[in-house]
Parts: sequence; structure tokens; C-alpha cells
Amino acid sequence: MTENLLEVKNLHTHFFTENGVIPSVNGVSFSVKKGEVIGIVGESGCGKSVTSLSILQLINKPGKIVEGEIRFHEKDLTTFSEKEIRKIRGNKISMIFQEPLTSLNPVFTIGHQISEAIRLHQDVDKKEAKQRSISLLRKVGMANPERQYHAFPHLLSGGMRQRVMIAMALSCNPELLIADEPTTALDVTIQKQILKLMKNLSNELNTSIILITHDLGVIAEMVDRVVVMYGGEIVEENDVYSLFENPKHPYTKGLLNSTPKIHQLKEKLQSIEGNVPTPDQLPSGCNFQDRCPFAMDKCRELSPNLVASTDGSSVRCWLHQEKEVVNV
Amino acid sequence: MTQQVQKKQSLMKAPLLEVKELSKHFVVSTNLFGKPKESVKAVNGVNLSLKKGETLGIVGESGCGKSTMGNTILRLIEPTKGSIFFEGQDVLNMTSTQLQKMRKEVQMIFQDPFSSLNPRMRVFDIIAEPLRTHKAAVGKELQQRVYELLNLVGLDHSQANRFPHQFSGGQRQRIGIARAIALKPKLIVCDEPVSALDVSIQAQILNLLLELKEKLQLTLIFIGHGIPAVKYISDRIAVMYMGEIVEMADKESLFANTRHPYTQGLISAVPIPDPSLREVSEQVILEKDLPDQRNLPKGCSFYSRCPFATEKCKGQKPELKANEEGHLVACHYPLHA
Repeated sequence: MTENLLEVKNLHTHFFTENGVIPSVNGVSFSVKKGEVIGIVGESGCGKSVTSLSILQLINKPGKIVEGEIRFHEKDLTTFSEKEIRKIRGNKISMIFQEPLTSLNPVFTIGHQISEAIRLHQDVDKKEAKQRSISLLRKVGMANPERQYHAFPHLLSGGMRQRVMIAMALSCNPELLIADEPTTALDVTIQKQILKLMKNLSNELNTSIILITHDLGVIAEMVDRVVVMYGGEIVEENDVYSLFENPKHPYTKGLLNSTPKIHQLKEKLQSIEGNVPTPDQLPSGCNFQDRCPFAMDKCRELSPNLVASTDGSSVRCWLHQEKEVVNV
Repeated sequence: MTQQVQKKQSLMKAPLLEVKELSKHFVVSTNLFGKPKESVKAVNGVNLSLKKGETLGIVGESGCGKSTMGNTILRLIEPTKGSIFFEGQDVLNMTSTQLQKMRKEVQMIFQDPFSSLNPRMRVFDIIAEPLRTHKAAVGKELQQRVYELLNLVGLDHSQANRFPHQFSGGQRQRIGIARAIALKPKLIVCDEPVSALDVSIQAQILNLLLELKEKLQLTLIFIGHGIPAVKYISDRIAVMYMGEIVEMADKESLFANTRHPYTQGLISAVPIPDPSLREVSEQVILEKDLPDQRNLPKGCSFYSRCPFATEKCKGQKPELKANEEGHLVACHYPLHA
């Protein structure tokens, strides 16, 4: 549990468009230990998906990783060639996307698609791959996997498709699973089934998971450690219990207060003023200053650093700057 | 105290909206003679009544018929069976002039603020359109009214000449709301108005709706699959499953004394944003997906997923019945009985 499986160091991913450079991810650093489940939470445009795509080197033109390292087992993935990264992608690190219908190929059976992933990375024949696919489908809770093996994606419901995606992602026993909003397109009852499935599999196979979501409820139920992102930067990082109990950054506080809670009596929801910024219209100084209720003059001029404190948390805010600087 | 009494008295009056045995069946395939062979029962015998000033929340999984019901109430879709009364008038047998008048009083807010605003129209014209159509205002008065509406939803009148794409999702939803309240309607059907928005913006829009409801004395039907949001805004909640209402009660009663196993499953599936409750929260996981709507089970529609189902449930359809407190449930063996 102590060894870092993945280390993202000072990642900058920018998009070079006709209208100028859009800095989607700006100096993100975090690490994932073996068997750990970490959550990245944030709103649209905060760079959470771009971060996950950067890890797998799936950033296409006009996007580019301009700076930073992504160390997986001590090796920097940003220096890998396309051929080398393909050996990692879908094998050691796999990914589940938000919309299961668009991420499955509609003209192949689901069995074909899972077998393909297996045969690509493992030296097995067709028959063996089929056997493994069927047992994976059974593992993710598909009823009658022998028959479903021959089903086309459109015949399955959203929850079933997401199970297929998980089966495919797990086909090579990955060490790290990146799940980008895996349940956002699903109903709550199905979401519960999928989350439980992911949790069980991670316990059973000791797979690390990076769970990307905007839903704090999902975070609270699933993860060990939380990274909160805003405007392409990490604004707070802490273990899940401390973060929910004692959020430090005003944005984290705002997010928690603006989430309606089912188990509490009605009190007025506190919303965060203003709008979610797109990466090309961030204010000067601290990214959050124009929406922050505690903004001071200093916040409008200078951008704060992410500061770690001794209890293992870190926060990027001028209100919490007395401690040592770790990351410039 | 007096306020509460007054509120009660106003609630005692005749319902604003009454829906009786409303059904909408979509024909999937027809036989040789053009008669329907298979149909999807999207809405199946729904009864509702809505008092003035009340907010009714409608929750359910996708495909349960909640949006179809909202559309049918506005007659955007013609129902197959049933009747709808708005202020005592039969909506389904209205002449077109009557219907046009009724449409002034019943408005809708849509889910997707990106596709529900015409990208080629300026915000001013989007909000002015209903006022022009119904000849509610012209000239200077129209301009003043549009500016007033923009102000009411928290936008600035200097933004009136912009196009929808120049706004963020939350701002666009505000424009949609301004358009909906332009004609001072009595009833607004909100079809998932916050599900496409970011968390911090959802709270803004929910608070705006609550504020406008007070200010303009609106009655709302709030359709949503995000149960915490529906709970926050509603007075009464109806739970739909496979085109039917399976439970309907005051918000407090629905959550404190849940009586239908489906509602219980639905509520316990909502992730709680508090990790310290991770282990304690009771978990009733609903297995399986929704059944095929083309051939629903003969008995209770929830039979195939219900953990407590018996032979009786398989053969006999439970009716929606109220207990002493007026808590309605359609189940042979309600919980907390």
C-alpha cells in the first residue's frame, strides 16, 4: 500500500487553437498508491478529464502535454513512443468512459470487442479469449453471458453496456483503472450496482482506481482520497473523511454546501455565485477569486500555491498559506 | 401561525390541475390491418391533482414516463386515454382559442438549456417571443417587460442583445426560466431543469425557482431523476415506475415512512455526500434493470425486481390506495404498515 503506482508531476496540458492557447491543465501533481481509490472532483472545464486523458497519452492535436511527468512504475509515460504506450494502455492502465454507447463499437458484438482487447495484450488463441470474455461477463454480473457474448451493444441497456465496458477494462487485470464519470449517464439504482461492482473488483484484485466525477455523493461512498480541481489546478487534496468534515478551500466548502442532501432537513442551499469559468477566461490572481466570498486584495493580484500541511492535506488558498511550500 | 393557517386555507380550494386516468401508449408495431399489435405504455392510468401554490415533484428512473406525462399535461403529446382539467376546464376538449389561452397559463422549462433556445435568436427576442405571440406587450412596454424579466432571473439587461452561445449553461437556463415566466403563468412544468448543470450552478437555479415561486405565486411540477434536488424543491412527491405512480405523499412522509419497496430502493441508491455514513447507511440494492415495457407483467409492474414479491403480486395488480395520513401507495404489502 505504500508504493506509488502512478505519479503525476507538474502536468501542463494546453490546447493550441486558432483563438490562442487554452491552458486546460496547469501544474497538476498527485500520486496513486497500489490498491488506492482516489477521486478527482470538479465542474465542467476544470481539467479533470484532460488530466485523465493525459495519463494515457490520449491527448490529440491541437492539445499537447507541454510540461510535466507521468510516472507509472517509475517510468515516465510522456517519453514513451506510441508503440510502447499501446502496451500499457488497456493492459496495465485501462479506462472507462462516461457514455457507454459511444465508447463501444456498434458493428461488432460485445464478445468480439472484449476478446479483441484480450488477444491484443495476451498471447492466447481465439477459443481461450472467448472463454475468458465469458467469465469476465459473468464476473461483472451479466445474466446468461454465453448468449450475451453474441449481443450487439444496441441491444443492451445503459447499465449493461457499462458492465461490458468494465469487463473490457478489466480484461487484462490492469493495475490502474481510470473511470471518467462512469455512472453519470445512468440511473441511481443502476449507478449503485456499478459502483458496488467497481468497489468489489478493486478490493478483490487490488486494482487502483482514479474515479473522476462531479458527484460528491459518489466520492463520499467510493474513494479513499480526494483531489478537488478548479480552473485546471488542484485546489485541495485530502483524505475523504477529513475533506468532508473539514473542507478548507472556499470552493470545496461551496461545493459541499450547494449539494442537496437527502438525509437532512431542508435548509436553504448555499450556491456559489457566478459561473463556472472556461479555461480561457480565468481571472487574474487566484482562479476562484471572482466567485469566492472571502476574496481579499491579495487574491486578485497573486495566485496562491498549493501548500501541504503536516496532516497530509494540501490546499491552494491565501487563507491557508502559513505552512511550508512544497510545489512551486 | 396565521400564515400557516392562511396557507392551509388556500390549499383547501379547488385543485389547479387535475389529471384523471391519464394514459399514453406509443404504438411500436401494427398488424396487417393497421391495428396496434405492440405498444409501449409510457404513461398508464395516472391520477394526480395539484393545488394552487404547491410544488409536486415527480421522480423515477429513465423510461418511467415522467417526461411523457409532463408533455401530455401541456398537450404537447396527445394522450391515448384519460382527462386533464386545468382550473376546472377540460383541456382535451378545448377549442384552439381556448387552448391558446390555456397555454398562456401553463409553461414549461426544459432540461437541456443548449438545445431549447434558438441559437439564431437574440436573448431579447427569445424572451419577447411569448409576449409577442400572445400580444401581451408591444414597443417600449415590451422592452421594459423583457428587461424586468432578465432582472428577475438574475441577468443584466445589457446582455439582452447577445446570442445563447455567449452564455454558460446556468445562464442559459435562466433565460429559459425568464421565457417561461414571461406571461405570468399559473403552472410551470419543469422537466429536469437542473440535471444538465454543474453542481454549484444547480443550487443557484433551484434557489431561483423557489424564489420566483414565492414572488409570482407559481405552482410547479418538478420532474427530475436527481432525488435530492427534487426533495429540496417539492412539497409533495410522486414516484413513478413503468408509467404508473407507485407512491405519492408529502415529502416528509415519503422519506420518513417510505411504503413502497421501489421507493425504498430508489432512495437508498442515492449516494450520500458524507463518508462517515458509508458503513451505516442501510443498503437496499435493486437488482436488474427495468423490464421490457412492451410486455409488462400482468400483476404488479415492480414484481420482477421486488425483494418481497409473492404469488399475489405476480397475478394481481395493486391499486394506489391512501392510508389515514393520505400517503398513497400501490403495493399489496406496503412497508411501515
